[in-house]
Amino acid sequence: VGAPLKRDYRWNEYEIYAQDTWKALSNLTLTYGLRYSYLQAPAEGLLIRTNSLAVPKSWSPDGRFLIYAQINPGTGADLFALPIVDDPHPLVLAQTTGNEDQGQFSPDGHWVAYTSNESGLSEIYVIPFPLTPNGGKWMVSRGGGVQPRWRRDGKELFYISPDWKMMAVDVSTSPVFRAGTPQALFDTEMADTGIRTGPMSWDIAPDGNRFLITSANSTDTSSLNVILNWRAEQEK
Amino acid sequence: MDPSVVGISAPLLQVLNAYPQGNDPTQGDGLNSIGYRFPYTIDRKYDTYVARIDWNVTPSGKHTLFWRGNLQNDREPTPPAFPGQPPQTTTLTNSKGFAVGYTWLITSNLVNNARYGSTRQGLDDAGASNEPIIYFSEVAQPVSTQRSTDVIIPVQNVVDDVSWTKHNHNFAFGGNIRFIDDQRVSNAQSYPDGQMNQGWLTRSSTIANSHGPFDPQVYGYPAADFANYGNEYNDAILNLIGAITEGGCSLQLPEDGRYASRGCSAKARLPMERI
Repeated sequence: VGAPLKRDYRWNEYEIYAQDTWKALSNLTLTYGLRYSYLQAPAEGLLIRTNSLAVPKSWSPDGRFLIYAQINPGTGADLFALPIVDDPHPLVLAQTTGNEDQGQFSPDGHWVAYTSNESGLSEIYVIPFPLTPNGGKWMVSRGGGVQPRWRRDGKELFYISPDWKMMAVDVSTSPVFRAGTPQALFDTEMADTGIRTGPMSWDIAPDGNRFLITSANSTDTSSLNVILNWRAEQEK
Repeated sequence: MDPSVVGISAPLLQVLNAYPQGNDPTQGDGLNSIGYRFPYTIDRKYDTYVARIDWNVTPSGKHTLFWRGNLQNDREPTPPAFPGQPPQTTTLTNSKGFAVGYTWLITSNLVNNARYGSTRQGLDDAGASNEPIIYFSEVAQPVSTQRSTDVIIPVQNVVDDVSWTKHNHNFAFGGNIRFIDDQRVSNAQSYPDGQMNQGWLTRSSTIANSHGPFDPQVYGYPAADFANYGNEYNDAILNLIGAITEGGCSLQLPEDGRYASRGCSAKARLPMERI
């Protein structure tokens, strides 16, 4: 609510012509020619143009920033926050020689949790947003972790451990950020896509009590039926 | 009249009581509503700056250059909703642009004209409202409900024309390229709203003559004049009890990495929500 909507349409128009004005008689002048116009249809422009792969990760709650990961030579995958409404220049969130990915805004928009293997092992880190010179950085996971998500009230962080367990960490953000000891909740039986630090494979319900997980275990999975051309059936 | 004991909405009654005393009987229904006119002062400003330079590069006029510049700075507020309030909208215009041209007399019968223009239309329609709104039914809203829209449209234009005169003919050919960028930001769809719309009432979209709640004839009172004042009676009841029969909102959802605007509305039966 209240976030302004920004649109940016760009298009080009090209026209060429050739004509002749012929004074055929002293009292008769003819003008004739051809004109060709190519008018592009307005289309929304790119949010950002990059020379390498850039993948969106998370919107800030107020819709003003978009976190994206971009692969850069020398530093691997890095995380940036792109201002949507005002200055279109991206802000660097996390850039080390390791890979930073899976950036997730906290529900209040003041913190970002992400995955980084800068220590040699993929771990979950939290940084303040926007970044400040002495804002700090906290490692939340212990012994490895990927795919962080915040509980809706921002008081708990979840992530996936190396042995595919759903982990939970109590966090507090005021007056300073503090994280508790990670607790294993359950085995996720998550499908191994081979890209643990890429797209997120799970989400949490708004009440924080249920999880939706991409699972390789299809046992007892109910089927999803899709009815095509249902309107014609209805009219029979 | 009020079997569910909905009662008059105290917050809305407070708002209704804050309306000034009407003074224009040519407006309104003559019973429950009346017009109100008031003097106001609005300060509008229109500043335009124009500059031009022409340069004959060679005395013979074979090469000439020109530059034209225009800068606009306008401020146009609109009247307030009621005395003492800010303008409902203020339109700020700061459009600007310039053009340069080069004319080359290649020979006595062959001329080339090259032009480059860059304009930036800038328009800020700044509304005074930046919060959710509940609309009263069929009366002037007590405060401005105008949202804001900001538009910036840079356009770059490159033109070249060649003119060649031969005997009784004057041949001309050329091209024109425009690069247009239309940027706009608006909060017009950024807030939910609620409306007291009698069109969504059950019982044939009316309270008067509905034979239901708030219909006076059901409760032993004289019947409302449905034919002449049915709508006015319905509006007055809706406004007093605060029955929001229609709600609207617009969701901004990320879609393919961009914003998409989704409209949604809830149209419910009385009483849906009471404030």
